[in-house]
Amino acid sequence: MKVAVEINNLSKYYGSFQALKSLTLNIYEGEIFGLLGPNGAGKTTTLLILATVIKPSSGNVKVMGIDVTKEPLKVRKNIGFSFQEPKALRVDTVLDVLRWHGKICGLRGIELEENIRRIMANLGLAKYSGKMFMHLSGGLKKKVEVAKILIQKPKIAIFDEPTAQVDVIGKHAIWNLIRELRDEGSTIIIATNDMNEAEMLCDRIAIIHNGVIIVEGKPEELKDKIPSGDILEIELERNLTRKEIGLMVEKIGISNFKATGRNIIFYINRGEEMLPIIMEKMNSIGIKIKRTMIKEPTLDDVFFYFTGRTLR
Amino acid sequence: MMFSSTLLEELYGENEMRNILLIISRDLSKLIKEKFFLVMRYISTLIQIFVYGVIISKIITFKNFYNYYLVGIYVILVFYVALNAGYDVLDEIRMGMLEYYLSLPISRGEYIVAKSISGGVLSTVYSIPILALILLLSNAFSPLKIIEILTLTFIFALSMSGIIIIISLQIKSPNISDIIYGVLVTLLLKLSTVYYPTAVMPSFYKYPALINPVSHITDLLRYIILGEGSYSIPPEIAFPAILFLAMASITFTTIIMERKVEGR
Repeated sequence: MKVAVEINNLSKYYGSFQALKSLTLNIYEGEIFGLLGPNGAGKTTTLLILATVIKPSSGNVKVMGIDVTKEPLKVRKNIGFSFQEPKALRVDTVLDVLRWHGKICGLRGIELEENIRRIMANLGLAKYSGKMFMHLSGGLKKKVEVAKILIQKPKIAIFDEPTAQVDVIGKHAIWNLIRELRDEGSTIIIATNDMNEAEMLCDRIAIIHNGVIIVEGKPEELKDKIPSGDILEIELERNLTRKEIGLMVEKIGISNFKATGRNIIFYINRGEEMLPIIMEKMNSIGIKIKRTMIKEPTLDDVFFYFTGRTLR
Repeated sequence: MMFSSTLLEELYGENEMRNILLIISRDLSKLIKEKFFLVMRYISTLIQIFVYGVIISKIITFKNFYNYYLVGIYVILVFYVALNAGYDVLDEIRMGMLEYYLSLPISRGEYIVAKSISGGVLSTVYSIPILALILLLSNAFSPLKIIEILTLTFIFALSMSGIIIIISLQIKSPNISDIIYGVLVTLLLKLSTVYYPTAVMPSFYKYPALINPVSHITDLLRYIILGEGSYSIPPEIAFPAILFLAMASITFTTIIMERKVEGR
């Protein structure tokens, strides 16, 4: 597959704060690529550098083979950026916002009007076309922001938190339109902290945390990175001391676990067989269990496994 | 307008010219939609012409002071609308709109040229009814004068918008920009010949007024509308100064935008 976006050793400082730390990443043409991570992880900074809105402190970034620092205008002619915070003049109507965006991106005539009509109908925006942007709800503003890029149909479409504040029906409509855009030949890059969105929509995902890519791959590949097949979550009645944790490891003989507060997560094989054995051994050393759950790993578990933090 | 689409096309090429015109037309439609601002500014100007102007011209016995004062009022109107257009960039930084513009397939230079020209066009269009009124009141109504005045209005307003854009882009902090904007407006208007000629000013007041671009445009317009003897700065000095300011303002804003600006 051809590389659409090539990022090499990208770093970005805001004053003394390092938002991105030597990021290296390839995004391929025609895929939906997700940057998954919590707020402040560096997702938006990465996307803004791709869009040439901000400059990298160091490193190389190429979009469609064009260097973002050397030929930013050429890069911008290939991209469309849907911002996390919707951007429009307060006094503009929904139709004004979409029509102006289409025109400045080079669309005109019947093609522009047809794109606007279709996207507005699909996103349920048609009845708000004459309404001023500033009078819309948060979810509707977000839909207008996403609609701009869906109308534009750029080669590289960037969506920063595309469904934040949008209701469930709206989310599915946006996801479908993003998939359609991919099918029509665009490369899609999405930043999200919604693991469900990442899992449902993305062909490949990179998990980003504190400005570093921790792991990347297809959603299933990421889940496979967690050793053993099952996740056993145990909620205890109280926090464990270090000594008790040491004793538990010695008694149960499983070292692949993470303990946070009253919760312990074991990464094990044959979870259902192992559960009674683990419970019995924990009881025998006086650790009281409140609740247990066995599940297949999710992207949140992948994130937790690599960072010790949850995305929720 | 001085920047006709043909001239812009020669300078920038068809696509770039289209982008610039799109930004200007958007700013114009925004001004029309902001009816409250439009109406309040007209009311305030009319009060200055028919109430304050009449009163003060009875107090000040300077020859033909009312007509002298009317030109000053026109310049104040143009000045405020131009600053408001430049200030729009600061407002757009506040609303996060700058990031949006920076992500569009337009160059930083096109954006800044468009915003500066917007300031010129907006001020010129906005000032036409007041200009017509002032020319009628001064008995100086003539199509040639209107063309000359509107051309100069456009050049001056473009410069003022550019200066405010430079401040907005350089400072970025909206609060500090607000303070600088306030100080600049006060200094430029008070230390100028908008209200009084330099002949009646104390010397510490006179010298800043002579180098102030607001004095240059005011006296240039007084020369056109009222004729000889009505100005402090001769047109041979005022006209090149206004042209130089416009070119410097566009050049600096473009350089700053191309080299320094990031959306955040």
